[in-house]
Amino acid sequence: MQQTLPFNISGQQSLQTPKLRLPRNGPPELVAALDLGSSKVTCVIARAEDDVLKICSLATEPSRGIERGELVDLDEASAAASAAITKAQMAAAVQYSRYMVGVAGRRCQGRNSRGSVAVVRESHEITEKNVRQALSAARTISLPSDRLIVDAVPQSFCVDDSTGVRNPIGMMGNRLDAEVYLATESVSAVRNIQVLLRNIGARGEAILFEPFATAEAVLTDDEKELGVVQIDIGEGTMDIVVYYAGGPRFARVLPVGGGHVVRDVAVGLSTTIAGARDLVHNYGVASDSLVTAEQAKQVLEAPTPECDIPHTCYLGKLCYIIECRVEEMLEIARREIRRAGFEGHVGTGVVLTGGMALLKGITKKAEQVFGTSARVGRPKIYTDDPGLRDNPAYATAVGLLVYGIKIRRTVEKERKSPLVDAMARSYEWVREFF
Amino acid sequence: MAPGEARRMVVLGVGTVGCRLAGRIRESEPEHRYLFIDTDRYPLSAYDPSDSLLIGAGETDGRGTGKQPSVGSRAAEESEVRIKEMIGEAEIVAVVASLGGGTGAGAGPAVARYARESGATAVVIALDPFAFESSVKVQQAYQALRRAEDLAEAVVRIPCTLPPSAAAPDATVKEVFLACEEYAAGAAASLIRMLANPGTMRLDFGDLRRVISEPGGAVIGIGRGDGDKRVEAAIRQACNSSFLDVYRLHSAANVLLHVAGGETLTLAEVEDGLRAISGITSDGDYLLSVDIRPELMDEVVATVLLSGFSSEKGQPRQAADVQHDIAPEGAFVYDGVNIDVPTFLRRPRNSYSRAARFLPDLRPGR
Repeated sequence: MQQTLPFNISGQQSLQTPKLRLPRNGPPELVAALDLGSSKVTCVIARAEDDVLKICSLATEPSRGIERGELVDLDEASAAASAAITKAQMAAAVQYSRYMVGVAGRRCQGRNSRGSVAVVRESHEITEKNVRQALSAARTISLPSDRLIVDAVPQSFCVDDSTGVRNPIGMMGNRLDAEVYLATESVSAVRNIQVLLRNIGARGEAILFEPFATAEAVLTDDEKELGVVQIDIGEGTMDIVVYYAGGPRFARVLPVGGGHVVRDVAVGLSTTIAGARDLVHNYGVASDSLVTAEQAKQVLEAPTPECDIPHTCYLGKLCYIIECRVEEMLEIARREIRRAGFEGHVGTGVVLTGGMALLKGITKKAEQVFGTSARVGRPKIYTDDPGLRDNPAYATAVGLLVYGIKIRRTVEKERKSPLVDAMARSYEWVREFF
Repeated sequence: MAPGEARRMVVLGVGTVGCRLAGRIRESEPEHRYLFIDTDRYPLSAYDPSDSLLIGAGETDGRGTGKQPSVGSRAAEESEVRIKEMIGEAEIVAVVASLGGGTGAGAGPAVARYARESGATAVVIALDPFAFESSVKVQQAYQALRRAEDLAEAVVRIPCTLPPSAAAPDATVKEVFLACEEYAAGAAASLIRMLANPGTMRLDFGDLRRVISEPGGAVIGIGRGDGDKRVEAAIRQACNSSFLDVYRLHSAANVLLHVAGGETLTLAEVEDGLRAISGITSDGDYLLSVDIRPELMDEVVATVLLSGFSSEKGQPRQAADVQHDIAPEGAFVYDGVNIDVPTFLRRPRNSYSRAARFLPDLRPGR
């Protein structure tokens, strides 16, 4: 059977014709992620070799039935996800059905939580059990019945009066507090993802909060320690996370993204959505300082809906429309961070990911809006193909792998020793869910 | 209209504060017709019964709206016919209202609509609530402002921040309030003078209208000066009256400067003064008008109108953002603004966007 193979990242053995009977489950070191985005569904399968993730295949499928990070048409979305998974499996020549799935809809919320436990042992030495209890206490918050915790990331511990403790095990104290950042999502959004996976015959290994996953792929430890804003601008949503002192301190998902830029251009230049997308992709600039007077007067052709004679427009106008929108999105992000009280804690600047991070001049604009340095976050992962390594559009998909494997390792470690940290707790919880 | 003759203008005070301001303006500009509209019977009794109108008596029983703009708006609807009768055949109707109250915020924009429907040019002179008032009230004021922008030809805001003279830490409440009232009345009177007599020295009504009808509204400031360098002092005071902190002068795309002085005002003085402003605006561009008013004697009064603010300044910018009221279900509304509407349609021309400046007119017509 001759198949047209989808685009293949690693260039490994995957260009062979797929076997008809594949093993039921791939080798244990495989890890796969499914990123249900508003513009594309990405399925990526990787091989974890010690601490290196080697991408076996990455396949994308134009997204249908997902708007602003939320499912709006289950059948359409299932079809797109199914197609992406099939492509990826064929390219990697494996059959693998357990996926790390990300959630980041507009109803996602983040909050800080704190759990305390008294150390009652006579020696007052803090044990793993105390840590577990404190983390579990931090997860015990009153939530409306339609919401659930999808992710809980420990920030730091306090032992009596000393704050900022990274690992309290073995320390002496009377009281242990755990500070945790919780991400919650609406129950229906998570259930719908389950239904989608069931429809296409796949299983979820873990449900992960996408902003944290993206951060895992692109942020350095120094940045997380010194303070950084990570902004992922996708098609339908903009995810904002602030890392400071080693842990996430603030996360927000807003329903604005690259789709707005394209629609603005379509409206402003009276062209089609597809035409607008091409213009943004080929000529778009987000910062006026990169456009000279001559360039601004360059005449572009924008297809009209009747597509007889294309419109002409100036590059300057295109850039003006894009700049207005991008500036507003970044301004909203900055306002959110300021309102949360973290404006002074983002010393190392802004890291941009998502499809919009490919827009020329966007780092310049971010520098202008935030008054700090800005860079494009490129997923740090080993692969033979530089197209993936450098492409910020796949930061979330790759992040789901990195974050997912981290959680999987923690759980494996826990099986050997009884240590359970919050990541493992959340993992346990999602396992219950599937 | 014969040359030199003032336009037929009606100044309408709406709400208790609006009426009081209109009363103050009448003291300096007595030649126009002044009308007072309120939902509260008691403060209205201070004005001539033939010039005053109690609205919404059925709704409020003449006891005010309780700071609810919706009540104010219904009260105006109830008395639509009477209001239109009072406006008559005026050419320009200036609606003076405080956006912090119920009547001003509710009935003010509605009155502007009736004025337009009667064939007049409606300009709303809106007094912002104090910065220290509750956020709910400030939000209410923003909504009223947006409604006014939709219904009136132009909106000019008078920021209710303290003029420097009253900002001394030991100023008493009474002094500060009086100073604010005086400042607001002065600014409004100055604008009304410009609206009514637009023909003085190179400024026609079209210029003025272009500046004040910019989406996002306009902001006004006044300053006075006498003695040495009086023109410069007046201009500097107008620009530095504390709104400048909020609406930086250089973020405005349009700057209109009006200088009025007694008969002793010399051209050299004006030139000296203008040299001062050219360093303040971003691109040194402004519209100028000079007026001679003998009653000012040796004093010089400068009025600065700013509009077309760029977005950089955060909070005040969103206050002035044009609201698109019809936000469909599921639209992303952030800080009262429907984000799904293309940004470039909501924003006035970005004054520091070079790409935009290279081209003659990128901003779609209003």
